[in-house]
Amino acid sequence: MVKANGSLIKLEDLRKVFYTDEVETHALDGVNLDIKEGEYVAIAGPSGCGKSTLLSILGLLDTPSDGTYYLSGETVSNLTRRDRAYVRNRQIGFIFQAFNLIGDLTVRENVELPLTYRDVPKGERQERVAEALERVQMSHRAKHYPSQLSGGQQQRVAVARAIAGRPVILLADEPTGNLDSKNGEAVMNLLEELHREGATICMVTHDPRYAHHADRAIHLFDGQIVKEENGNGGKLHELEQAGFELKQAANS
Amino acid sequence: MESLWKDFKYSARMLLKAPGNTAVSVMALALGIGLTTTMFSITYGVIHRGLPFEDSHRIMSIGRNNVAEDIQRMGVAVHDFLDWREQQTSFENLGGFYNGTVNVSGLEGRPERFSGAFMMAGGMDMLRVPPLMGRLFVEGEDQPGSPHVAILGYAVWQNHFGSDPDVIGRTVRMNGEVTTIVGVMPEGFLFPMNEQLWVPYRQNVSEMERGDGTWLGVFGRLKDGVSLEAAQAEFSTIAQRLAMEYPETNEGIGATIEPYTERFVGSQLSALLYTMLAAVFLVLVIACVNVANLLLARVSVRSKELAIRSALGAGRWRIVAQFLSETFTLAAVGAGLGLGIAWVGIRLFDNAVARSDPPYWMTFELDGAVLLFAITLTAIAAVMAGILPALKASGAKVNEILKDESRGTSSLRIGKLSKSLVVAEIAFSCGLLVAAGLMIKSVVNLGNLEFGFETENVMTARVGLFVSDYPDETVRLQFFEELVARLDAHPGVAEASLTSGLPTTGRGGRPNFAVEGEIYEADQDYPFARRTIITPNHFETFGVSVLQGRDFGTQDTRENLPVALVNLPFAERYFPGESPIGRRIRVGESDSEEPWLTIVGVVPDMYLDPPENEEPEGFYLPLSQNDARFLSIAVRAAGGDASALAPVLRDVVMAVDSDLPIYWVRTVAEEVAENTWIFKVFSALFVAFGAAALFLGAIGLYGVMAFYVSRRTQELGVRMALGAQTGDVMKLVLKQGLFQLGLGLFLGLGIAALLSRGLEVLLFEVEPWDPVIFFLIALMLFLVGMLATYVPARRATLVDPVQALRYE
Repeated sequence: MVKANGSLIKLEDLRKVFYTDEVETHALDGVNLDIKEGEYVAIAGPSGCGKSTLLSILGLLDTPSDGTYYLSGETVSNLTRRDRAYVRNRQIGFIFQAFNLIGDLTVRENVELPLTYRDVPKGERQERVAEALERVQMSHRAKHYPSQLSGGQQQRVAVARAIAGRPVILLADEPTGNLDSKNGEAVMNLLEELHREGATICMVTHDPRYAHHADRAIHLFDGQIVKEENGNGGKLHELEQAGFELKQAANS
Repeated sequence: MESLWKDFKYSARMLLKAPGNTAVSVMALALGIGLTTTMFSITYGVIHRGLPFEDSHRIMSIGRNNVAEDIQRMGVAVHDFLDWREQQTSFENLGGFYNGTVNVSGLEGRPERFSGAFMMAGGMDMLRVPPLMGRLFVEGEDQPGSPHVAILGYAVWQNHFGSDPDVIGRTVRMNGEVTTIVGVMPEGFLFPMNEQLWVPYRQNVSEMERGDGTWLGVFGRLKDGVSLEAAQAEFSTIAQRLAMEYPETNEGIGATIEPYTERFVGSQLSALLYTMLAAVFLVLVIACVNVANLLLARVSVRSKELAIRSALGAGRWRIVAQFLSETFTLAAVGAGLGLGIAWVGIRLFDNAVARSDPPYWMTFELDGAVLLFAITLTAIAAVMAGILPALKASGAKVNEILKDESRGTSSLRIGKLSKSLVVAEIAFSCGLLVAAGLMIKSVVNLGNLEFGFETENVMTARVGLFVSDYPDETVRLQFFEELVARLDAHPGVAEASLTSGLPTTGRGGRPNFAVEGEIYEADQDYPFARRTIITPNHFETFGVSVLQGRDFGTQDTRENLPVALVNLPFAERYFPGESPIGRRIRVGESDSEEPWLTIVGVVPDMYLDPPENEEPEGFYLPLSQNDARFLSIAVRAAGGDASALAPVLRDVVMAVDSDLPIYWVRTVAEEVAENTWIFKVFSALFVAFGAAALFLGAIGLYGVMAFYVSRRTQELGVRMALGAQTGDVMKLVLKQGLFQLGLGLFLGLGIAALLSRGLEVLLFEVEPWDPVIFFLIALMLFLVGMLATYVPARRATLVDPVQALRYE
């Protein structure tokens, strides 16, 4: 693997092209992005802008058609399926919009799941699971099944599952998308707390309110980064891309 | 009615939308319905079809028994028959008969041998079947000295009398007597069992000692209002009275009555047929489980549609009816194909058993009764396959599904039910396959059986002499000696001999006997063994050597020492550790007046009875010291094809007596095949059942695992997103399949143990709990099951997590 210094995540001219029925779709079209360790980045944009494709590539669920992806200073763009699973398991924590807890497993077993895939000894697993559940205040529901929990509780368990593996980065895909505003706000607060404690977070959202929780918001449109701004009330930092004309097509 | 029609129309549309599932379901049901209908037709033909007469269920068979000596059924001595007929009131009348050979000469061409029934007058009237031409026997025609008369069967009249309309009154020679034909029976009438013509019973009973004479088969038609139990009670009373009156012959002798056709089946065969019917019903259950599983998969897929129907006001039973209409449609199409399978199966079975000459009413056809069964079975199959998915579909929580299908847990519950069904399916398949395995091993054992004698190169035929032409032993012996001499002289014949019972036929009597020096406390303690009368050179004909002592020879005449040969099992059982040569045996019990027979030789076991017989002990007597009227000719070909000797046998017999026909002309190999066909037929049936079960079981397991994988695609995607490797996913799916497979096999071996007990009667040198078969079948099912699981498991590893998680 080639090393890249400085950033936790670095994307260089990343492209993703889908071919369907002889139609070529450029989901990502020359994306350059740096995410520093401890940073909280929101990726915003309208539906179809490529943000989920970007998150899939960041999460090593998908591979780019072109360009380079450095994770923790090493290139991961061309890893095999097996190696991607290995890196994903050890360095990346996922939080999904639909929670994606496994219905047949208890809360404790769900949180334990990524650790079982990396052969963490049982004692350590239990310790980490307890710690993660404690962190999201779900210890008292450890023996429950997902169907016995509310949506907000399920998403907190999903967060616990994501942090139990102590990943270098947390990738959150519309983490509030299936929640009411109260529960949505609670999950956002939880992510902020994790960020304050040092977690690096990259979150996809289409809701501008939540995008402003991040240190930095990156706006995608038609597969390109069209704007970057500092969150948390910071001053707007526009990035003019050569030859690109901003279209007022979206609410983001 | 209109809504029902709509349901069926909609069902047809839904089924056509999933042609793969529909084809598998139809095929499964066709196999299940087809094989079950085949087996039902066999069971119905053997046990239930009955005699083709008016009120035939009231025709009973009456026999004798001796409970003290553990004899469940035996023929009726003629004196007992006459006393019963005189004293009884339960039956309209009693008929008596015995079966025998009727040689007819005076026909065009050679003399012919037919199976005939020697009937007491009056018996045939009771059957209420009028003759096609002429009349039945009248009183007095069964008395000695009366003119000889005969009634022809339809086939005999057609084939041997050219359907002569003036046949009544025509005379022919039957068993050496000039006989007048007085009647022709209608087509299909072959009573009592498979008889081609009928002559009166003409033995002089008044000159016989009580108990002597040929034992009779007895039948009667119950009077209206008289039950079988009442008749049984009356006959038991009569039997007791006779026992008191004639203690010497009738002590301990009882009477036993049963429906006529049941006498020919026996409890063992009934049990076997019902076991097989139960076994094949398992195939249908497996098929239904398959269909139920496929439907359950669709319930899961269609949960939203069903919820919408419920929300729009469809009641629970309306949805149940909708689902059942689908299974009825599937079952109806399956039944159509299944009847085709049944037609072929019944044909094959009918052809196979035709060689064994079953009683004439045992026919195997796809007739009204069998069709009615198939229709009922189709309805049962439709309900069996449809009711669980229907109830499941109709019981779903509508609100939950409509709100958010993805979070509903109904599919998981369906999954559990589906898995349980597959466990049952594997268990049933295992049971059937073990049964099939045991049967195959039996056939293989039989095929590998070393008889130890020539089978291919020996031609045989049967010949019978009648007292009218051969009135005493001397002339009979002269005939047989001349016959052997002429056969020996023929250049195509290497060796020739005569025997009362060919190998594997079990003919020749099985009397009890005494070993000199042994003490027997009671008559029932005297052992039994197969007795066979032979001429010298019998063993050379079959290429067998005498093991100890000598063969019979010209010195063994009436004037010299009465002698016997024993087979090896006899020697080992009754003279263990010592030579039987010089020891003596005597036929009969304590009051026997038979001469003591000196054993002069020991010969190998030549399977005097069919191979599955567990009492192979037998002894041989020389024809020169023992009388016999019916003997089999055996000739070993000097070279070439033994079958070519058939015309030689016919010509040589005719050269000695031009009026004497030969019958049962076949090689020893054909004779052996005839006596072992049952293993092959029943094993073929079980192999068909087992193969169908294996096929359906594998499809079932594959279907459920494929369904499991498809329903859990998202979960598998989550696991892979969390770092699960290909191996982890494979392990997860295989573990699920293995659990079902393991549990199914465990239960299946239990079912197999039960089923194999029912098959015991058909097993040849195989234990019902043969560990090798049990192990091999479990292994085979395991491998097939693993393959059926591996394919979906492999597919699961190819799940694209991005797709599975339904990203944009």
